[in-house]
Amino acid sequence: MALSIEDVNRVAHLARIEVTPAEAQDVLRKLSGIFGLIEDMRRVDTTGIAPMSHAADVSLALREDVVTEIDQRELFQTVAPATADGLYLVPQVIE
Amino acid sequence: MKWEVVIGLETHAQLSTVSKIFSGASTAFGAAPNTQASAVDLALPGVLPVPNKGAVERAIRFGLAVGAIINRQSVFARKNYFYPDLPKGYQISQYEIPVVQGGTLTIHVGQGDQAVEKVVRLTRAHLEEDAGKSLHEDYHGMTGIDLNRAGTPLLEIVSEPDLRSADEAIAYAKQLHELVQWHGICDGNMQEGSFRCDANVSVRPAGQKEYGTRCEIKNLNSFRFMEKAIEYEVRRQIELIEDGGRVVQETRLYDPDKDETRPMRSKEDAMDYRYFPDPDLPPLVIDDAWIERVRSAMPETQEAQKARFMSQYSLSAYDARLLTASRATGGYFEEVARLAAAALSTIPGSGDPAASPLAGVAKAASNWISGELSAALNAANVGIAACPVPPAGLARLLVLTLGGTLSNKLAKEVFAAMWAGENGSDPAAIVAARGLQQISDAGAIEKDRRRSPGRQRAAGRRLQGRQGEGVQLAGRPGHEGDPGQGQSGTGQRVAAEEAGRLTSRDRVATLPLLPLDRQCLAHHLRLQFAEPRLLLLVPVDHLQRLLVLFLDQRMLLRYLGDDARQFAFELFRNRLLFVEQGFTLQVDPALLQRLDSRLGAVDAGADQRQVAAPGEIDVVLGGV
Amino acid sequence: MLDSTVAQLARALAARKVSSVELAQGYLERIARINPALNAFITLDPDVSVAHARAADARIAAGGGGPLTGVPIGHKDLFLTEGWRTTCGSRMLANFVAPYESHVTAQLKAAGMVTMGKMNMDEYAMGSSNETSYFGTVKNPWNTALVPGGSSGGSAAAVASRMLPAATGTDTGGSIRQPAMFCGITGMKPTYGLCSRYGMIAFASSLDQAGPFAKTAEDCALLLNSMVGHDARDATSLERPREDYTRHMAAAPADPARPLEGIRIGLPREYFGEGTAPDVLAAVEAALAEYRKLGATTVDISLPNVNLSVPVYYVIAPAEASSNLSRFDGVRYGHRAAHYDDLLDMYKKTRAEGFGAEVKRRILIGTYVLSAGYYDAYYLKAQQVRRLIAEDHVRAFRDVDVIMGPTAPSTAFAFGDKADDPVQMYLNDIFTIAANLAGLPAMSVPCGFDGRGLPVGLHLVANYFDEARMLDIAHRYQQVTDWHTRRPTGVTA
Repeated sequence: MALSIEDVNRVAHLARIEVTPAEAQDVLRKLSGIFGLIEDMRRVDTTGIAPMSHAADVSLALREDVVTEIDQRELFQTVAPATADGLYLVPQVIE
Repeated sequence: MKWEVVIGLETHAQLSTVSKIFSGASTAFGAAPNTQASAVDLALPGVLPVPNKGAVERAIRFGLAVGAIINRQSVFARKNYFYPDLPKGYQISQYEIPVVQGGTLTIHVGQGDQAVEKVVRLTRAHLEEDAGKSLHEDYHGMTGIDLNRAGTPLLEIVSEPDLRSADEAIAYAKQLHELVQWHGICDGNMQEGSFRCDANVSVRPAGQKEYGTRCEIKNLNSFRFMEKAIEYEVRRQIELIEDGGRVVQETRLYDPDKDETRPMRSKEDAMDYRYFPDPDLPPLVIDDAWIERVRSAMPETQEAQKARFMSQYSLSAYDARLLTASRATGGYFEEVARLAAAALSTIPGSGDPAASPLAGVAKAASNWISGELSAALNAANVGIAACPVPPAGLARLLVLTLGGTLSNKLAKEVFAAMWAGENGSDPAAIVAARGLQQISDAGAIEKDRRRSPGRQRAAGRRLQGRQGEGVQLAGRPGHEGDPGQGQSGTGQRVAAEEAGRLTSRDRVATLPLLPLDRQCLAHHLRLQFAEPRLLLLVPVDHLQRLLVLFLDQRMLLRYLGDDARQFAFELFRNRLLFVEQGFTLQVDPALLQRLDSRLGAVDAGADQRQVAAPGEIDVVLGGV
Repeated sequence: MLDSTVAQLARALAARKVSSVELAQGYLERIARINPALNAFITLDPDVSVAHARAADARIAAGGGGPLTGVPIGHKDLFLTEGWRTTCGSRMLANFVAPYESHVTAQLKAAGMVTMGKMNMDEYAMGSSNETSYFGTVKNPWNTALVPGGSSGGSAAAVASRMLPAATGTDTGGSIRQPAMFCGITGMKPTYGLCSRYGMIAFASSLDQAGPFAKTAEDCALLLNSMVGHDARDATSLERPREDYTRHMAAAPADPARPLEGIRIGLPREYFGEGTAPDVLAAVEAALAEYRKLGATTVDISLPNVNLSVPVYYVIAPAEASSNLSRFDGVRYGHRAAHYDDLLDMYKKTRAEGFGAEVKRRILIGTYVLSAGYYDAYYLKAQQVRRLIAEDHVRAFRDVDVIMGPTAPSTAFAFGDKADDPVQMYLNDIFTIAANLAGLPAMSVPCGFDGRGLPVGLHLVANYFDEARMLDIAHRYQQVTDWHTRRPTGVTA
């Protein structure tokens, strides 16, 4: 599966990362090498093999439905780039 | 061309947990912005999600309630997209393997008794987290982000495209809304966004097998908007196709102000959500034991309760359905019926189960709850659980009306006063305070007389004035409540005979009453009164009202079942005379005089026990 | 004294031969002298460190000290540490101070260890050379023209250069073991799930695991004792009874000359083939000979799918990372671009500026393999092959107690050598990745030097939860060899 510059741009948009045309070319070259490596893997017959998403076959531990958190807004917002009236500010969102 | 509408609904029900689905932050509504956003909810670096057992339990409950498969192992996945109200840049949801699969929901399409049932198939229900909120008020050209809602647990319930009209869609949404509340899964508060629907709408020429291209309509936060939005969208699609256009698959937003749907700009980008199993969360395992624990703790289902109401209380399907709209309503109804019937069921002679007083009480309770109470709740926008008139209060009001103290119209007045909290919401107190009683309160008359002869006369005139000539308790003009008018001549004749026998005895006052139930009257006659002095013959349902009236007046009902004579004593000692507006009752003026004189004796005699000793007065009460 | 092991320092502290404050000051003085040449630290706060030490001394004086109380340690800069900046080696978090503490560092703090600073690392732990840090490269103490390995390069370099007796690291595909080899020290990662990931900035959640760096296996065991433990804040954290990872070391063997009698060492033929430097292989062979002398037997085994570890890893790790790093969007914390047109532009510029080239590359790979139409071919396939690789190991551990081989195919390389060729860089992790994919415990132990005098690491992989025995197997080797005591020649203390 040959990677194209359109693929790079599409993926960069999905990932919300700005890439200049020159960067896109460099990324394309490097990614193509990596995908060459990955091609080896795709040749393996994995019929009937369950995918392994976790390093250990454990079941999920759940927590009880209790409120354990307190209001730490002030503390958390000390590291925020922009806030007003307790809100995080971002450029205008259009629905 | 004839068009068929095809609708599938995706419903987000906010689960009624106290904490969020993946953090210990509170889910309480209405807190100051970002004060309920924990490090996990804010997606600060290095913090991890830990699922809420309560949320999973509610999902199991839902699955059981709709007869679905509960997957013993389900998987949390990440749905990746960037949006400022989605702090992690992905939403934790369930994708390939949801917790609940399949199931059905029976809906009622149409109005009232005309409603027909339809079974709607459910595709799945899965757990996921809610996003935060974008506040579009202008912050110097910026949007404010409040993440209090981020991480609130949701159950997304997806229906098959089985719905064929806006009406069906609404019926489905309402039924689902009732069901999730019924099982304590969701509080159903649509104003607060606890229950939100998206509708997938398409149209196709009638008879065509393939579905048309669908549009997803978002922002349907009320049943009314849902109806209008679907209707608009159906119209739009049909007009578009008929004009030679094509429907484009897209997400549209309903604008209630303009009553139209429009494409959502933020969804214009073809979404590629890159779902994959969340590596922070191993598979969710639900074992049989857990499912059984949840099942055994589940309440009677809505359908089962409806069926039971129909059989146990002889209610119509329509009434039963209204009363089982919510568990709280069903519970309220049963409590009212139980309290009222408990009083009434102690009446001797009501032993015939087929003629249980419950049915009469139940129907009356049903009418009140589905009528006046429901209207008041709607107007005040409160749920029945928070109803200012508790079941005991309504039960007491009910018995006042059943007992004839109050006409329905006056009862409504009393109800309004109870709602407003007047006199401690005690109906009897309200009746007393407002002087609403239709009955002649002999005690009051007597008191009046004791105070001054003039006033006594005035009281007597008042009584007479209100009741017309003698104790002519005529129904108000146009009143339709005469329970006796339609009864058979046979019953009337039998009652007359019985009454005739009674009146033949000395010192027995007869009230030529409306038809009595023969069996019941006979039963009471078998009570072997010794020399009855005064006989009050009260028709069936009025008897109940009478008894409950006494109950309401703090009379001791324990006399009732055991010793009718004792009851009669109490009855008379308390100087209560029972009359009911709503049916015509002609009383010989002599009765009033006799009664008056007896009361006068009480007044003069000081010792009530002497005057009203057993044997002096007997009361025969009609039964149901 | 400052060259001592953790075990030695702990004994000295307990015996009041030295105070924690003296140690902290001694190391700080050494750091001030050596660190400018190595750049192993991103953040130092001498006052806080000395205050920690003072508290530890008070605790020891009160008789409340434990086996690690008063011993200095450094933390890889992706462990969130209250009061200390945590940068993850990135411009994105250059000024981020977390108001909470990771479970691992909190436990070490509770044990009385003294935090000396935050260690340099590859940005978001993505790298094998420590060349991707926003805070500059870390130099290898054996030769400052060479890389220290990565991603926990700062931790490895600081311990190797004796600026610290111990440090924490994290290992996603070899990020502890490969720099341990490159710097000539001992480093290990336990079974996935033993150390809580709470408070560790995630790279690839299903692979990340914390672990210690020290000079000896015994020190690693001591540190591990305080690092593991169930944590309800991490749904993948395992609930297991506490164990003492030094217990086998403390036991006296039946035959002191052959303490590893009966231990079977599996040698996967896939790890001894072409592509590994001959002098690396020679050092490993010599170590195996030593093991036979200690009583162990070696068995040739095969892990047929292990050669696919690198491609599998370079699908799974970037996929998880692409999603894990979405939260760095300039909205709630971290870098936000100064100039942008609109929301989309804010996101794109913020992330373009905040992330370095390698991080962006991996996000793009990960986004690609998860995107519509490619998921089955890449991500799902990789997860299936991952299971095959894990099953290879499960099968192998039916016959052997430990798997050995080289930690990396070659010793430390020069800056820029592989920087422009990610494939070559990635292949450097070829022997370490499988343990992460399978979730197995593994470690690297110094076992000699190559022709240029650069340290070689012996790689050990053990069965799930068999850390104590693996550490003992390493410990017995260190009892009869002195590779782990060799000091780097590139910088002088």
